[in-house]
Amino acid sequence: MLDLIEPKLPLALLLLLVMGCKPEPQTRFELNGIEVTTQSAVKDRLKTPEQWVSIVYTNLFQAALPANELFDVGQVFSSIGDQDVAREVLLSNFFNAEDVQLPTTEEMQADPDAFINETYLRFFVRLPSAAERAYVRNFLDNHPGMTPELVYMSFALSEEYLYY
Amino acid sequence: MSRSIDRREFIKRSGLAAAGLAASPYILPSGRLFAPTGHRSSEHVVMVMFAGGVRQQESVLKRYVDDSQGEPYPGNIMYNMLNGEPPVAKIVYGTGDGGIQPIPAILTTPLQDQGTLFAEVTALSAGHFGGLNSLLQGSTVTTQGLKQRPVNPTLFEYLRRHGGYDATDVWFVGNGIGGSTPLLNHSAHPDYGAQYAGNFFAPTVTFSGMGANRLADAKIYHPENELAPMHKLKTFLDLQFQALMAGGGSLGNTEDERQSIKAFMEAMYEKVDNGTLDLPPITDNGDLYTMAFAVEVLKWFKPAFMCVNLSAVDTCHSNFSGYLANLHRADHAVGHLWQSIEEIEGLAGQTTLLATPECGRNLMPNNIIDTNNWYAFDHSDSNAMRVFTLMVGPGVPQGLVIGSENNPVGLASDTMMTVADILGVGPEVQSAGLTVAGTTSLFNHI
Repeated sequence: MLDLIEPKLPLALLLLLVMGCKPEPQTRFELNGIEVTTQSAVKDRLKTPEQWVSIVYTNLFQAALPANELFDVGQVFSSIGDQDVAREVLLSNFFNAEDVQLPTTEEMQADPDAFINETYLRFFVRLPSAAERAYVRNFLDNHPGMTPELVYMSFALSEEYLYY
Repeated sequence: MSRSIDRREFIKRSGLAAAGLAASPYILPSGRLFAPTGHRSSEHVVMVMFAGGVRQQESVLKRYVDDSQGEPYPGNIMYNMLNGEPPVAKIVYGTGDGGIQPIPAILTTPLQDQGTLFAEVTALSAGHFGGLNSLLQGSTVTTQGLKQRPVNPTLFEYLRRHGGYDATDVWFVGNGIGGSTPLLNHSAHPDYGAQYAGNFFAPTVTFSGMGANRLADAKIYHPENELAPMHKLKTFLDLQFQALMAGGGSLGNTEDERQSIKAFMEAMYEKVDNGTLDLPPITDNGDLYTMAFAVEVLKWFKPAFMCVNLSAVDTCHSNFSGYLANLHRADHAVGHLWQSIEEIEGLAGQTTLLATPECGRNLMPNNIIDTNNWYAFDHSDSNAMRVFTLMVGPGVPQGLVIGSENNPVGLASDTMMTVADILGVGPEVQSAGLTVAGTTSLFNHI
């Protein structure tokens, strides 16, 4: 009986060893990069004039507005009753500055969808819906005089940009 | 909470918003379906909130330092507005070292002789903010706080809602941005509000170095090739947003009005820059600069109603000599205002001017002494509830004085009701029932 068992034992151990040494399949789990933004224009908190100025300055110059400048602009805004007028005049002053960060018209026209996405993200912190993208692209196609500056002005003066 | 919408819903909402926008001009901004029931008796009205707490003793009573410092020198230092001889001694209110050179009169005939003086009017508040609110709302509300929009509708809103006046037809020119002044151009009342607001400038801020540094270098865009498509795209974005959200409180200037205001601002920066602003002969304090810009607003917009706020006399809290000097200058400012009105085509002979202090000042001084050893005055007692109203213009009796020191006639809130009366919305303001009891047009006292 012992003789019958003994020759089988090393064989079974060998089999176990072979099976136990089988390399595991190399499975790697990765995450796809997803842009996390709000998917709609639901914003219900009105920016203060200072917040609006600070944010639009950052959007246009890619730099923060110095605190003393922000204070002064806030004071000037308080002195004008029609804030729409104040915003429009301030923006047109900003666009006169040399260091304002704008894409060129050629860049806009070379890849309008990318420009539209970037503009929505920059100003509205969200991507456009398909309908919005289609409308704006069609608008740019039909208005060859539209420059990135004028598009930025439209977005910066829009009601959605007043809220967060 | 966020939610996405599909294309069909987007188009539906955009269409609804567009339809609303297209229909809105027929009901907005006036919001009225019927013509105002009142009769408009003057084309233009200018109201001066004069000028930061004025004692009756140094104004209509013309007692100069006789009734404040125990010095026997009465006299009139407001000779553009009031008749009477100036003081003969202790002159500190003019120009030059120690203010010894009185500023010459601008008007050959004082406004008192050209119109009607309500010599003893009861203020609704002994404080500035309450007083300003009483002149603009016709009431004081105990829940009204600083840094808060007026609780009841302002004169601007009554005029725009019930009189159908455009936004640039009603103006508030403030002396600065302190003391909640910028909030006074419209109320938080649910039936009125921003869409009926008056346009506002605090010109000493807007057109100062601070304002010029930020706003004077505006880029000029082509109205058709650049501005029109820019606004068209903006309209699309706004319709998108409005389809999802309630729109925020815009003042209601039309696009043409906005462009006019921008052009006005540009013109003012240019005038300041090249020194061609229409200044009063002496312009050495903030009130006089404020009045200079107020006159420019009159010239440019020819509004139906403009309110100007002056406040420099409030220095009286700590400097009585400075108070006298600023009171003299507030009178100088009103003289310049009236002279300009009489020279502006379209305003001359068709404009009514009213001036009322928002509050008076105390009978007894505080303990602060100025360089002339004169005591200062605050405003908190019954003497601070004593003010006057001066009115001049078409249909206003000339040379008439109503009321006296022992016979008060009228309330400070009557001033706003008189403006409403002159511009044809008196019945609507009365029926709104939001003014203090007894408020009536000053014409009813004549």
